[in-house]
Amino acid sequence: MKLFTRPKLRAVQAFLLFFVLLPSVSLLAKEELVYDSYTVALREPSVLNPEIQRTHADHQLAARILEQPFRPAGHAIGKSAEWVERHHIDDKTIWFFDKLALQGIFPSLHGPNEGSFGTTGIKGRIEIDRLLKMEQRSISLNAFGAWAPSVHFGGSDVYVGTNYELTLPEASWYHKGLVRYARSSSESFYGIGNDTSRGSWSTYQPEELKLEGTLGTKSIAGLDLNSAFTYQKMNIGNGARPRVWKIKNRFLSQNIPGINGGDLIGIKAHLSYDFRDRQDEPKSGGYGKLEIAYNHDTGGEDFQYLTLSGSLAHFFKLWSDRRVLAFRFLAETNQDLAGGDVPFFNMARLGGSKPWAGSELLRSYRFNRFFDSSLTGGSVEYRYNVYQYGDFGANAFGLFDVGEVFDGIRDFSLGELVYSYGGGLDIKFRGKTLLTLALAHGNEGSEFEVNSKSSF
Amino acid sequence: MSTKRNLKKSSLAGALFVSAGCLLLIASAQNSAFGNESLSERVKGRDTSFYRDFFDSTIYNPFASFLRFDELSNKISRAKKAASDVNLFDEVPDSAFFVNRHGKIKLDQTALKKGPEEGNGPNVEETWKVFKGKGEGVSPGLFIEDDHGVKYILKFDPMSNPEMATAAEAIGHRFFYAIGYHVPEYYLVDFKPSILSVTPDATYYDENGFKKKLTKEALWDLIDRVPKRKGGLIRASASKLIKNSKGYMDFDGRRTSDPEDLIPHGDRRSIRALRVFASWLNHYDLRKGNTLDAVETKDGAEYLKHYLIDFGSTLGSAANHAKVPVAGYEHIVDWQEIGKAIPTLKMVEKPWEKRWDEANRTVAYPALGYFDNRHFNPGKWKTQLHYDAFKALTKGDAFWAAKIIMSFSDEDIRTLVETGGYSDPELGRALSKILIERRNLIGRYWFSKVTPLDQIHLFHNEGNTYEATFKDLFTEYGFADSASSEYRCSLKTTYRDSSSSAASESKSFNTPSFSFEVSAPERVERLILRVQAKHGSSGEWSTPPLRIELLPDGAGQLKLARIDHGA
Repeated sequence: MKLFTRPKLRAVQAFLLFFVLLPSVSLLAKEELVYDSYTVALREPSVLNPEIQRTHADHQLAARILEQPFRPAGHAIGKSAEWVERHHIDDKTIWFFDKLALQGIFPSLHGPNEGSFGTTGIKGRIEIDRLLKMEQRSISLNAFGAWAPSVHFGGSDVYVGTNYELTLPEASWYHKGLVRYARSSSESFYGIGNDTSRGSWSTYQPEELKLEGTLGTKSIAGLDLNSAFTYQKMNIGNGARPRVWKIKNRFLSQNIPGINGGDLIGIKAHLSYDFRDRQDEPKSGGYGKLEIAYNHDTGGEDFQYLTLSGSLAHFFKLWSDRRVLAFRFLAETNQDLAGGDVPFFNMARLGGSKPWAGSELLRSYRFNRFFDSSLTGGSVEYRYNVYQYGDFGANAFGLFDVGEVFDGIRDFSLGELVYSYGGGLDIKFRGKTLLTLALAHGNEGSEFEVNSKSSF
Repeated sequence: MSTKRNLKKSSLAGALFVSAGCLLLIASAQNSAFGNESLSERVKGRDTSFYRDFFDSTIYNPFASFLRFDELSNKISRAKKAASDVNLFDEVPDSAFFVNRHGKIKLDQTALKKGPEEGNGPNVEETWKVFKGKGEGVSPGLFIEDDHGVKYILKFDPMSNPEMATAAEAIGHRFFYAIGYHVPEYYLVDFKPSILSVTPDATYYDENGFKKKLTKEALWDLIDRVPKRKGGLIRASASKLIKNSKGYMDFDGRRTSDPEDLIPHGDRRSIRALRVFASWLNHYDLRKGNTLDAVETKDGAEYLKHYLIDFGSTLGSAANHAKVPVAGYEHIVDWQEIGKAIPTLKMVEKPWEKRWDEANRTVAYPALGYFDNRHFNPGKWKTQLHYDAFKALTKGDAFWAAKIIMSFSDEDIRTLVETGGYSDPELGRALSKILIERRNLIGRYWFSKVTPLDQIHLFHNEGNTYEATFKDLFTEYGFADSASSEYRCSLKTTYRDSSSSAASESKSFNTPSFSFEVSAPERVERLILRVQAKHGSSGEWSTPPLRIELLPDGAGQLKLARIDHGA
């Protein structure tokens, strides 16, 4: 039986030739040189030689010889950090401060106004009504105090006091009272005027008792209008800072009003507003105040003067809340009345980075660098976020401060304005400043300051 | 005066010399101190914590790097050392650090879903004995023992983000397992709180950090703070505790007490490439505190196995809250980024800031956390803490990792995402889409940094002709059109009996194979092929070229001896 006809046979032959035979021949000629791509043979087998690794480790140790003295300290700090976390010391610390806060006790760190860079003391506030569990919501009673050592001259800054506030239920009226005692071992004084010399750097020791009673009203919109009666008793002694002049020696021949202290009473009216979007790290809005006060001596001195002061600060977002332009402007004048004097300790002050301590911002100059009856000044800061990781953040800022102290308005001269420029870093946690570092430069050189509050 | 100064200098030099000598002696003594102890005895346990890792990574090491001559010279020369755990063919052989899984042979859907599971996890129908409260980390948790004596750690979701952390843990560990890392077993469980019983000596740390006896009331208080599902069920991830653990694994150095641990970890591709795998899965909390070494036995011999643990901070999760917008873009304290930001005055917003603003500063899906690809740059992705090993990643290391990542198909990714057990299927779809997109971004990025040719096969044709075939991963995964792709190869032959070598002109071709002729193969000492690829008409030739090295096989032919994608 014939399986295939001739044409069919040819077709089969052709099929075999093209699809079976030729590929087979080709396959026979093409041999794959196989390899195990996951072989354990390493590219550099010598890395598995313990001797070589030992030598490598020795070389590395030699290359890191300079690091070795720091390793024990690094290890100790690292271990301490681990211990803190493992024993929940951080949680316990937060619990401790929360517990204190629940009792109305708020402790914190406090730095001295001048000198002793890097040293810190403590301050605290006690809400007595909360501590005593008083149910009366219309009364709040606080005690406060602070102490900071000045290790450079063995002195200290200290203040203690108490205040209370009565608010009328369902009303905007309030009454406040304050008693405060403060003493500083040393504050600086360079004389009065805008052209005093750093060579006149002298030190005085202010000791102050202040009483104040206020009656005012607050609106929901952030306005506060009040008037107050004040009593101030100030003792002035020579300061403790060594290697500088003592105020009563250096300025003996000059008639510095208030160099022997003074007792004063006064009344004042105060209007303020606060439209900031937030108290800490404002991005928009602003705050300001206007104050007029009359003060009169009750002792043997001849102090009688009128104080007019005002300040405002505003914040502007520059297309993003990560860029903020902040302005602050202030002016103050103390006009003597009926031939009276303005005591130097209540004069306008300029210099340093702690406006909350009485001397206005001029950051390349020392604290209390300029004293006079009047002052005008301003600051501009461009604040921008440079770091944000969860709750932690940091803003860098460029700063420009300008200001001048002068006797009367007619003495003001644009040409005598002094200025500072520089920058800094504001380290924050949940928007609150933990640390501010600022470096500023001006005509008298540069100053570097570390504070726990932002400038304004 | 000058004599005094010289005396001081020579004393200092002497002190340094003596210190160096002592340290070298101590190091040598330590290295040769292995006695007859078993590995379990020899390898001591050790601990670390986030604060310690933070201090080392953020403060100590950046400072110390200025005192390390080896690091300084690397920084100046910008040289990167090739990884040492790489085999002749540019792959990482299996080890106690890494086992080739999906990248070598594709795991099927069942194997992907199973991951490292060896059992079924704690049975929710039985009673679980709570013997300790979780004392470390940011998420709340409980240590339990089931009826069979197996111990697990239960971790829960934060109240604000139900399903987020547990899903991240379930999905994340399976991905890392399929990639090739050793991970513990994790099980997603929905259980009734009534199955929990407290052992008499159980303790826990309360939210104020005080160690207390774990009473029934305290347990209920803890349970009150985790989200509940329908029927009062609680969802948790149950991670089986690893036995015989010896503490964390370093990302640099070696564990010298382990005689098998010879390659410094920072020189291991499997460690360096964690940066690439972590960038895919957004595992920003990859740090030494989230690793664990354990002594295990294989074929009767003890060895130290290196685990990755804790995947609750993968994807969009940061365990107890959604990821912060900056996560993956900057280290927790990124000195370099801060340094760059100060002089630029914030004229331009950072990518993560733009993205956060575009999202109206809100997290769209609480169960997914914060995770997308809008400004994702695979080359710039960062872990929370800085490690030199991740910085040492070479292009060759990253190519290897990207190749493994690309081996996960869309279906594989969907299968793994399903294991997260999202109650809303839309969330699974959204997450899969992100991971698929991110996979492609990583593949395209790292493949473009080398010559992305893989699966090299060498054939010997008749006579002295050889043929090489390869897969171009760039076209294989659709990043370029194969029709517009071009290749070129140059050949350099070194002869045994001659100091000279012959180099050929480079030859261009359009298909993924090429032939070459070797003259006098019996005299060849070494033959090196350098292959480059060009994708698209406007593309450039890839660098570094793929280097294929052929050596005589002793039988008159050449054999494939080495493949290198470049450092």
